[in-house]
Amino acid sequence: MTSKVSRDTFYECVQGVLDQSKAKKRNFLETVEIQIGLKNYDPQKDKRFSGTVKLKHIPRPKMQVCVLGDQQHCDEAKAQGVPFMDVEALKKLNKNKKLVKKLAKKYDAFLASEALIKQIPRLLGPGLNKAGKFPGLLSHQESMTQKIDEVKATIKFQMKKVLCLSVAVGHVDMSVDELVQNVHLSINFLVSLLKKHWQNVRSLHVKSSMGPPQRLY
Amino acid sequence: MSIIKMKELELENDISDEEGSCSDEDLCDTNEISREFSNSKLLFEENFGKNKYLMQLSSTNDNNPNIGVGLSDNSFHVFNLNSQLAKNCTLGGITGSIVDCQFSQDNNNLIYTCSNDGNIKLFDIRTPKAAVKNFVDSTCAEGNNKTFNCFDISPNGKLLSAGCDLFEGDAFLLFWDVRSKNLLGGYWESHTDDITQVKFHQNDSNKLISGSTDGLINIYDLSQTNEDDALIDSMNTESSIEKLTWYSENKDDYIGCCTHTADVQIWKLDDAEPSHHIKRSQIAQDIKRKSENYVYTVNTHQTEKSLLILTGSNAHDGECLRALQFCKNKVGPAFCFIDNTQRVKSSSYVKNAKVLLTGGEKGVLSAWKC
Repeated sequence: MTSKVSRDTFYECVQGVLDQSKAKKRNFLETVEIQIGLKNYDPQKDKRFSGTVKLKHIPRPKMQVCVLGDQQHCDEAKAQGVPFMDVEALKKLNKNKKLVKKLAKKYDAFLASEALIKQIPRLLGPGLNKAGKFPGLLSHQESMTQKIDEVKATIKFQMKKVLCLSVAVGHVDMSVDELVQNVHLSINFLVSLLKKHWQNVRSLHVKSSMGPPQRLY
Repeated sequence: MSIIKMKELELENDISDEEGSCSDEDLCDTNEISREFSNSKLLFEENFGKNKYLMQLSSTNDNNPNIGVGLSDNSFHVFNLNSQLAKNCTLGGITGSIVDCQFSQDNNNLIYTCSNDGNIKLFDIRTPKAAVKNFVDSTCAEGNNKTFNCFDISPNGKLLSAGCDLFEGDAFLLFWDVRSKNLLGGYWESHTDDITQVKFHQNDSNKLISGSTDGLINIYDLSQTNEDDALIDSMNTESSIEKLTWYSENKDDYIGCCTHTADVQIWKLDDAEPSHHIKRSQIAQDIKRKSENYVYTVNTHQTEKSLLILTGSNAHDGECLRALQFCKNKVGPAFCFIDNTQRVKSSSYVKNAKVLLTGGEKGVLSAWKC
């Protein structure tokens, strides 16, 4: 797929976002997001624009992932300073709605060992589902840190009724190169999901939380 | 002097360029395609006009099936497939966009249609002018309806369940008694976003799955008294769910799942991860297309011996449509549809007649021998 945005434009716009952010420092870490406006697209008739995409660089480094582990994964988590809980700890919650809600609030995401993931609804009820934090699978074939990074690097997007979509793809402490790579990857993926690709794109902007938008397309 | 209304200037200057650089094509020559995929014969075709999309399809499962067709202009038509494709009737009184439809399993003259404005209507095609029954969410104030996305009827014909868009922060699964049309209640704790699919197990009326844009496939045991206990399993696709299909092979139950990012996942019940995750890039390779960026998926269907995976390429108005099949733990080529001319939006498989029905963006209903 040919990209409609040149490499130079990417660098120029992302640099613009970073300059603006440096010129007026905020007392929080601004996220960098892309905004995509669609055309010739009818939400009633066309496919939903929804899904996940894994980025190259972690957009939310502060994200807290908790491991719901079997013995082996709990030991590993402990050794690496990753928050974890074992079956016994989960049993103590006793399907108590308030406690499960509290647990869901405490972390941004969860990973669970194979032996545990099948027990989650029975142990916790639908609490994690409702919070949108039902765990992903952590298998013994993959490294725990790698899997955690994968969770952190995966972003969700979903367009609802209005013809524009905004997704966070990074933050202002990332390097220009890292940001350009994330912006580029997410744009290419999102555009590939549109049936007519760039013919469905009305506009494309990149901006920081508080800064003005920079037009990419 | 007449005044001409100002029009918004809209230049589509790169259309030609785009079509020209539309870089998707077959990876090999047509001979190789026809060696691997058997060409599905086009039996019949019905054209509803170019500006309409064919959005929804349903069929009865007999040798001469009835076919229900929902269009994007909110009209709904019923056909019969015999020695020819003959129009039976047009249903009356449907409001809102049609998001789902299904024939009754025990009476070929009964069809349910579901509109996003919160109505599921039951029609008798012998008296098509008005619905026989209307199922609504009676807990909603007028004008503040939940948006329906999908529905299903239990195999014993007693229970109707519908999945809704997020409504005031909750994603509802609703249940009605088919005979009394009373709303029995709902679940709203198990998903965090729009519910796009709900499917009863083909033999077990207490076993229900739901899928959502939150990426979860939930399995419920409806014999339990409350939602907490009814939710027996969740499968995290880590994506967004477009279509779900039950599939059984050698007494093992599987779920075929198409995501909004054009992946297909096949889950064996009780497993912690998909037994097959066919990524978009893999589908492109399997259907012998050059670019994964054009791949889209339609749905999966249980056929006599396999799970048919219907997929295609968005390039060139979607003329490339192909089917893969999953059986005995393997994914392989199945059919190509050389006569296809459109991006397909909806499909239905008639097991007894071995016919696949497709409908799509050019408003064409096609019946294929599969």
